[in-house]
Amino acid sequence: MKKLFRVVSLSLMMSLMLVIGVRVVSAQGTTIVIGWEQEPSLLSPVSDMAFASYLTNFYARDIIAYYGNNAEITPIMIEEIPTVENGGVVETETGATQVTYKLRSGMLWSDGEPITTADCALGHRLYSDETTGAFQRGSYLEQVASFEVIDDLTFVITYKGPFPDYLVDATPTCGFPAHKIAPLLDEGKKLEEMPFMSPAGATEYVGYGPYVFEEWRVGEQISFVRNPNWGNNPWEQAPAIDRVVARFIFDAAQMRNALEVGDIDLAFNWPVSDAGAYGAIENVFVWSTPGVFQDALWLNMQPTDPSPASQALADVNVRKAIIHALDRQKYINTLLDPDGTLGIKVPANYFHPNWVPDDVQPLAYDPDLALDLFADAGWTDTDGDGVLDDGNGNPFLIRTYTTTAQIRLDFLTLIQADLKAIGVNMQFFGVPGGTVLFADFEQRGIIATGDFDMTLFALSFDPLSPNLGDLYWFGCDKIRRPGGGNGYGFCNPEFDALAEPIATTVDPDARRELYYKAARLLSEAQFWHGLFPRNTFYAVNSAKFNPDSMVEMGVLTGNYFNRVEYWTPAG
Amino acid sequence: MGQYILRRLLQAIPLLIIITVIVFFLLKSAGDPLAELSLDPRITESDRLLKRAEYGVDDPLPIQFVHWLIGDDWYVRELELPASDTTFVAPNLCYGQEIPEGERVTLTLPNGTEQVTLIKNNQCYRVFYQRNDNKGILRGDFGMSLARGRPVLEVMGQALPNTLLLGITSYLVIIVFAFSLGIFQAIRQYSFFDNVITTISFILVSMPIFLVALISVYIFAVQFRKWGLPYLPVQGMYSVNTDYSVGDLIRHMILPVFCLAAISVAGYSRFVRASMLEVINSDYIRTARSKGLGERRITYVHALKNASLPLVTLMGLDIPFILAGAVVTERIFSWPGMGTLYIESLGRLDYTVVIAFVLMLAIAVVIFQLITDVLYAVLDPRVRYS
Repeated sequence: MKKLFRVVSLSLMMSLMLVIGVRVVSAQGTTIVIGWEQEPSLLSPVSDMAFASYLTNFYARDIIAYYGNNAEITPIMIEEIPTVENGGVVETETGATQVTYKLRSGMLWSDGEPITTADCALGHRLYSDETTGAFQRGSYLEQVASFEVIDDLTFVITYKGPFPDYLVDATPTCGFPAHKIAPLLDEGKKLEEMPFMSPAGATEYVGYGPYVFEEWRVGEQISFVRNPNWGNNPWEQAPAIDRVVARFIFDAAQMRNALEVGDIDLAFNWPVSDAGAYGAIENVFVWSTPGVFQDALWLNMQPTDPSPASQALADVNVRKAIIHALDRQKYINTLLDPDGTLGIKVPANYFHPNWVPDDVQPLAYDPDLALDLFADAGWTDTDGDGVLDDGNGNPFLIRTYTTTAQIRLDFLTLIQADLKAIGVNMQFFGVPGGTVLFADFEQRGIIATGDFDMTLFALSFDPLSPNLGDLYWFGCDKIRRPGGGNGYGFCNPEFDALAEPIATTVDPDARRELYYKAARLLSEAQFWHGLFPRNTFYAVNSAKFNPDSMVEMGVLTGNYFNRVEYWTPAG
Repeated sequence: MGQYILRRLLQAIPLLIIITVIVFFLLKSAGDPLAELSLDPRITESDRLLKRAEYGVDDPLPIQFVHWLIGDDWYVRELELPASDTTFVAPNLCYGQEIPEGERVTLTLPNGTEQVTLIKNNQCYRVFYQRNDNKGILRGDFGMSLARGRPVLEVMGQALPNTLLLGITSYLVIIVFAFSLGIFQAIRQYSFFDNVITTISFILVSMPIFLVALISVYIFAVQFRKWGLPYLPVQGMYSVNTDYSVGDLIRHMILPVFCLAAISVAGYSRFVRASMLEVINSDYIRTARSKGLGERRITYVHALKNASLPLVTLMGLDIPFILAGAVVTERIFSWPGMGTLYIESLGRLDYTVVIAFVLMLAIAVVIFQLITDVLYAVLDPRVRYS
């Protein structure tokens, strides 16, 4: 017995000594540790598919960046953003768009070599040669007609036709150092095969950004230290934080624990359901930025179900009546933002707010108006059973489908109660997303075939230009057919006719008006009604770092950290 | 004995093939590992098709399995790239070579890949695609990790040492504590401490490991910090700012090792206790006592050797899973080992890594089963395989 106690006591004492006695080396200066939920596979910004490629913002900036929650475009490597007004964008004799870029003078790569148009020419080579492995080239091959170097700091890119999205898509890159990459390309190596793209050679990576690689401990963390060749020019803000560590934590609960015990200083991309738990941690500031997904109710404009209630959805007033019965802001405040501190609002339109006119607003909660609209459409409670009917004994009953995500089911529970209050019955079903709800037409997916009255799901939009994919989902030619995703039956030839002028109008004001018109047409159809934006959430240790310097994280999926050099320690 | 070992090894070959086939086809049926390429507007249709051809994910499943076994450096895939993506190339020129219209020509590209190419309507079409670096597992090539773009063996080679460190340490702790507690309980059957340890054992055995992990994190890290006590790190192998000292490593190992060991110690100690109770009441132990042997010698030499036989089987089954890593524990504590790698690869449908992982595990199970059987013969002279 005594021996057992001795063994146990000795073990405990040793453990305690280790806990107390281990000396952890403190790096000089300020270090911020960011919890990262996935490890990158490679460092190449144009060949890595992983979420973790957001790390790029620490070490590899390019000619432009999109800052802030409204995605304001900012020149990084170039003197100014080329526009029609400043002469940087001209129309050629054939009507094609031609853009002239002027690099800033005095920029240095992290190894001290100067940045010139030779690096941009390498970018052109990467994008136009299919063997380089730079497969995230967008429509560069499709849109670019020629690339011409004028001098060490000037180059011109000419597109094949009018191309208003030149800053968003098929944009040239100068973010790769020619003196490091070109010799290896000549040897036949792809980007992903270059030694400095992998963990073992990461410290040799040469980029243009506020930080450079210090160490990559596979499976554990990547650390960066200040780039000695960044900060010597007026446009290069020298970072106030000396060292950035991306610490890989794969478990959501552990991410929170790590922030609470001080192992990390910043956690991001955690689910909204954790907002309360993060907010309860001492000295932790919580905030969110807009995402590129908006969960919404999609009403079927061309119902396939022969029941009178389903068929009634073809009437725009019935669709409006259903939405007027819903107190959507209350759902948000109940389920996502009880204190209102996150400021989450009901989305007004499918497009990003940048492209929506002020007069397009979400339908207000007004159950009386909802009843009036139903009555106008012939739906009243004739038999006094509390359920609207058409006078022929057919009750108003609709079917709603969503995925199995709990937050969506919670929203539908509240929606069901509000509809019930005005006499509308709604059944809802949570089904597997990939194999049932979103399956394609050939596999009889619910949305693709239009076999629903209402659905709740999210599509992503492009905050920079809805032309890049968003318009695709609403074409008349996409309704319930192989390859078409338009199961909700929106079809408006006037809307479809906007696609071509939107894609070719270079004048920004004229183009914005076209987008506004498209947004209004979507809104007037009353088939899309936003429920909640899928924000990106952050929590930072405010005792160590100043949250005010961090809140403008960006709205794109990949630009969260492109203002890291402006972050400051607390106090 | 030699013939027995050889026979067992030969018997293992069809078993490994069956396991591999099942895992391969199950995993391949789970989804498309490159599906996300089609969601990224920055990736053109032709780049997407070339990437898919590079990994052969559009080949029929049986063909993919054959390629995984013997490689696909001999196999030519036919592709037709969208004209819109190929119009950048000058008319009649493919990679700087002039090619007559309609004629198929084999080009060796700068990276050494051979491609058969054809000019059609003045545009350069790469209609065939052949890679030259995938040899297949039978030629010692486990392929490239789809998610990481690096060789599977390199990826696994980085994770395995970390898992072995955690697993072996845990196992040593388990053996020491399980035998100590089991023997202690057996020789003091129904004492106060026997009852206390039994109760704790039942509680621990009933708990899932993630619960033990989360509770231990909550107590030894979160609450200890709140109470102003020295607290333990909750993730990783080393601190953020570290001198890579052994002490720092041990400090990071305390919680994961505790979680791994706690449940196993509880279970194993019950086995040891039961076996020891059976043995110490047997005739030969009574004889040994009557001959005047010391109690310590009876317990640790004569009784323990026979009592450990059932445990050898149990451990023989468990030890291979050290290689697999403790999937839950490694993930919770962000330990960069095989368990974490496996879960992450599974989530990203990185089938080359997952299949290699399962194959390695299956081989380990076969080998350790064989070692267990051989150990049986060593520990129990009555067992003969010849």
